[in-house]
Amino acid sequence: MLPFTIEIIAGGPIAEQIVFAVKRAVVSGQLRPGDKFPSVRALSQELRINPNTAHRVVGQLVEQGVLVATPAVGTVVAAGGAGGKAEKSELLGAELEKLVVEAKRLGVPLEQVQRSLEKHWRELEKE
Amino acid sequence: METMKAFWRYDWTMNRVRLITLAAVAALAPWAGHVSRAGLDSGATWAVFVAAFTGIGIVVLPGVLLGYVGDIGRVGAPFDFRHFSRSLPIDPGKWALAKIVSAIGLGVLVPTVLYAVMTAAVVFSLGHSVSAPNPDLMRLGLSCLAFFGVVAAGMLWSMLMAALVPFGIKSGAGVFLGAAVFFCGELLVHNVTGLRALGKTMKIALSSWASASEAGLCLALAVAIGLVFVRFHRNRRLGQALLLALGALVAVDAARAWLWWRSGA
Amino acid sequence: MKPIDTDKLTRRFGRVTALQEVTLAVPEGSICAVLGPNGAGKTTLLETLLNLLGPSAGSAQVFGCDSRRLGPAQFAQIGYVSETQRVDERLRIGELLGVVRDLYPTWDRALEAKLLRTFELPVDRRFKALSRGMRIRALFVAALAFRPKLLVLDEPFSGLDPVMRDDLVTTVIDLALEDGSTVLLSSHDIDEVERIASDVIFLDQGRLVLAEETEALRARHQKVVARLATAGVAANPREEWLGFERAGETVSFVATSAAEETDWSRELGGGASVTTAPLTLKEIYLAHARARQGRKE
Repeated sequence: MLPFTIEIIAGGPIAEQIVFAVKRAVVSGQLRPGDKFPSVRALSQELRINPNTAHRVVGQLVEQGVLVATPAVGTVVAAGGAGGKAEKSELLGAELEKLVVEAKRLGVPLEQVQRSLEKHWRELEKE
Repeated sequence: METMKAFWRYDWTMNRVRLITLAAVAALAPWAGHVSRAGLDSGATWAVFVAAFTGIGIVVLPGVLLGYVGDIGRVGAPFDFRHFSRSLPIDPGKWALAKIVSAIGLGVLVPTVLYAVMTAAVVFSLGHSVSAPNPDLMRLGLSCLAFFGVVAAGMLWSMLMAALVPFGIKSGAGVFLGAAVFFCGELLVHNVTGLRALGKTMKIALSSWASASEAGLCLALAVAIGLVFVRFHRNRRLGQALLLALGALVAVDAARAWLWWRSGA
Repeated sequence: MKPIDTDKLTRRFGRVTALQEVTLAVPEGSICAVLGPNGAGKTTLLETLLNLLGPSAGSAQVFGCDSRRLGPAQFAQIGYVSETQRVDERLRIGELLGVVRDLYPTWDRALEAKLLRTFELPVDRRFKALSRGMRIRALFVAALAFRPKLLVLDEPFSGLDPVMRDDLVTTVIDLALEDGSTVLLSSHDIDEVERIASDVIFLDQGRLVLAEETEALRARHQKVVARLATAGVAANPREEWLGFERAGETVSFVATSAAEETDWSRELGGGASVTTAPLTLKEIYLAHARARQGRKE
């Protein structure tokens, strides 16, 4: 069992999808600083991916400061790694871009998108 | 050595019923033969069954032996390239050698020795003369050796034929053809042209020297076939070349025998 | 020393050329998938590499040893499973394992037991009473229990239900992880192997179409759909664009040497509105295969 949610979409670059999912988990609080991150082996086994890919994922996350390699314990989630405002808006920005592309493709004007956005926001707030 | 042991494990697993049958029939035949004859003389009906058992056993024996030799010859042979043994860490030459040891040792030697020992036992313990070609044990021994030589050469030849059969053709066809050719050749060379002649030949008391040289020649032939068999497994092309040479020799001999038979000698 | 290295490997069967001058190298520790349609030469390639068949021309090296000279020392480190393997049908699973066990110095009894459990194999059952899937699984145990340095699998997933496929995938990943083994597997179902293959080899009618790292392959391929502002570009589609199609002002194609920074509006003439999307391995393969078909006509 992995401590973060992920759904791999076939055809996309796997490593990127996993890195994205981990960052999202950190931002949303699913992964907290100090939490132990799964080993390359566990990652590879759980997601049924090539060990090299898993290795690359961990490498990228460490490089980007999301994870930290501690000598005795292993890889843990870094403090303040991906929880900052900058990362949050970066994550959101990616989603927004997808929304804009889709809206343009469907030919939906900006005002309609804004109205839809407000409507959905209020509906979810009720829950 | 590991290769050979692995083959013997495999062989025993696959063929133990056949091998036990061969040994059992060979060991029991002299006794059954004697008992049934005595029984028939005294008119007992059960003797018929025992006689039948002996008869069937003796007829079945060559079939079982040929089936055995054909099977092991074919399994994992160079043309049988999809057999699981082809990707095992084995030495193909030693694998072939292990087959030869099994075929000759378990298939021919063990039954022959058992038969000879039991026949001797019947002769000695019951004090009866048996319708063996010659009660003289020394000659019996040499005859057995000659017999063993012929059968060994024939079995190795059949095994080689089974290994050469191209993929898709049942090994049985190759084996039986090979065995038939070999034994017909042998019979012709011994001037056996009918069943009666066969009976006579089996009763002829060859001189010790004749028996010995016959045995020697047969064993030499068996060794030659064995070498070709091993070489074929190590190096298919070279093996095929050697086989051609051996085949040519056999063909020349067969032609000579046929001409000799034709000339009415 | 690469585990597998071939040089213009060719194999003919009478008039049919099953492998045509295939030159490739499989990196150590990789999980390499050989993909292609039925009849592409995948089985022939695997069988020639392991000296079950001799090459008609060219050569192959396995662990630095010419394939024609592979002996017990090399085979002790190679595990091979294929649906085409013949096993005496009267053999029981346990008996097969008993025959081969002592031939491998690195045989692990505990692993053997674990694999038998995982694949749910009854040790006393004869091969003739096994379903196709169980048969392959039994052969797997014989090929995996000694932790081979090279595992060669010919269509390993065919005949396996999803659970068993998953078990096999995790077992293979385990082997790659723990022992750094190299895995070469062939499949005609590309989606199946997409996630676990670190390298892919595409074969088509005996020829090598490409041999590359999966990541690199995926990175350089993009599906491009564009609405052109000027008509100029459509007249000369580039050679590295596959499956070029045009409908009015909209063009679409598969780019094969794309990079993240590729500025498509520049490539297609200013003012073009472009969307790009990544491709699955299968889509990449199909694009290449169709292009080859087209070129032949």
